[in-house]
Amino acid sequence: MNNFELIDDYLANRLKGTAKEEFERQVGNDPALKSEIDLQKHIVEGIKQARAAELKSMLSKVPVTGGGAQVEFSVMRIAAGVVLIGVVSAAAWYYMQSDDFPPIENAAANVTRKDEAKTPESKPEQDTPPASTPDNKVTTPEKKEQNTKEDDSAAEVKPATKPSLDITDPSAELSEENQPKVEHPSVNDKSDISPAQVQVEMDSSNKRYDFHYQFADSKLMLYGSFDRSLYEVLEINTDNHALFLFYKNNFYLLDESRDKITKLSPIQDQALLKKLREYRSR
Amino acid sequence: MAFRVFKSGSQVDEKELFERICRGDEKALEVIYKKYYRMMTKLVITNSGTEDEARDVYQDALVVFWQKSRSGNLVLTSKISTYIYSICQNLWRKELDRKKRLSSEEKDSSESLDLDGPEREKIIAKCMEQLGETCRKVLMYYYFDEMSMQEIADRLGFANTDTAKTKKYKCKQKLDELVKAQYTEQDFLD
Repeated sequence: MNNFELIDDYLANRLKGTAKEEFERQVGNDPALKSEIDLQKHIVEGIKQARAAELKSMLSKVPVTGGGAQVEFSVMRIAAGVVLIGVVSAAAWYYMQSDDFPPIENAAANVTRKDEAKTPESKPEQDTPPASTPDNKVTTPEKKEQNTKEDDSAAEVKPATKPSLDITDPSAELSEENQPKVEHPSVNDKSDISPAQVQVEMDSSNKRYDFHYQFADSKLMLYGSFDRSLYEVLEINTDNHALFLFYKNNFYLLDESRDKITKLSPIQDQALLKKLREYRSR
Repeated sequence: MAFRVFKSGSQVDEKELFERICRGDEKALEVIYKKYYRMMTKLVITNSGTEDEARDVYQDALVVFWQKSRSGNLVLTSKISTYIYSICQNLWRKELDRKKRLSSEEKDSSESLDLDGPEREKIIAKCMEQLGETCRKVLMYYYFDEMSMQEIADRLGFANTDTAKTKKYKCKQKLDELVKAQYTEQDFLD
């Protein structure tokens, strides 16, 4: 066994009994050997510290949840509370926003206004289905006098250019599997009029959404107790494309960009209504 | 019934974790670190320590636990958390004593601090960094983890124990040379 191994074993406390005594006697008589042992002690200690530092560095990279500090934990809880309040507020704001009237784009009038008329009795179709017996046939409703007072919230109308509105037959798009397609008598053959491509589905089971719509997966979802015999989807194909819902004497803009459930709000703009009525009566 | 199953499961987990640590599984140490982090750091924080000090003490305690487990001389008669908690307590007590001592030494300035120790540690750490990754690991596994040559060979993919032994010898010689090149023998002696 050379000195190197002897020193190693001695420092690791592997030398026992007489071998250890003999080695210590040798060290006592040899200052150079003693110096070497002191040096080796430091080096071995340095190696151990390097390993301890490596392990600690490894542990420092471990993500720990909760934290140990009470104060920090409290701060975290406060921060979480603030975030929660923010999320709830944002959700509430968003919910309120979704009940607002969607902006009518590409419409006829250059007016931006808010209608304040609010008469509870003016929105019966939103709450209760009509007494008329619904059947599975889609028929073109008769032209009726427009009641413009039915509005339960403010409407913001953002008109753009005045399109030359042309109405296409919407009945073909009212797709329930068992709904027969009905020829619309007023279809004209203008090139900018084409059958609406949008597929319509209804959901009357949702209690929260009683008169709403949504575009999802290229389908128009109507939420509420719609009387199938009384609604039409009108598609305008001019320079600008727009979809409108006609239901119980009222027109509603269907904003195709709305992928969230949105409340249906009747159009109040008189100029636009006039146009829509005019084209629908063709 | 469900509680008994859970309890049984957690006991198995403890035993399994300890066995994994004894085998040198660093992932098991990470699991324990994460599991008891809050409990252990709270001990220091509620006793005049900062978050950083608490983390440092807990990590030191786990290093001690690791080394003791790896040595094969540790027989756990309590839960792992109880054992680590007691190490944390001792380490933090020592640290508080050291702070107190340091504070009084600063006041009377009667004793000079040993500045050679930290300086030497720095030099050796620097020399360790100059070694290659394999050399560093061989030396750390041998001197700190007290791995056998067979374990080192298995861990580092050496052909056999002779290769591991030769590697360890050469690496240690290289480190000695690096250290000696920077410091004369006198630097390490009082």
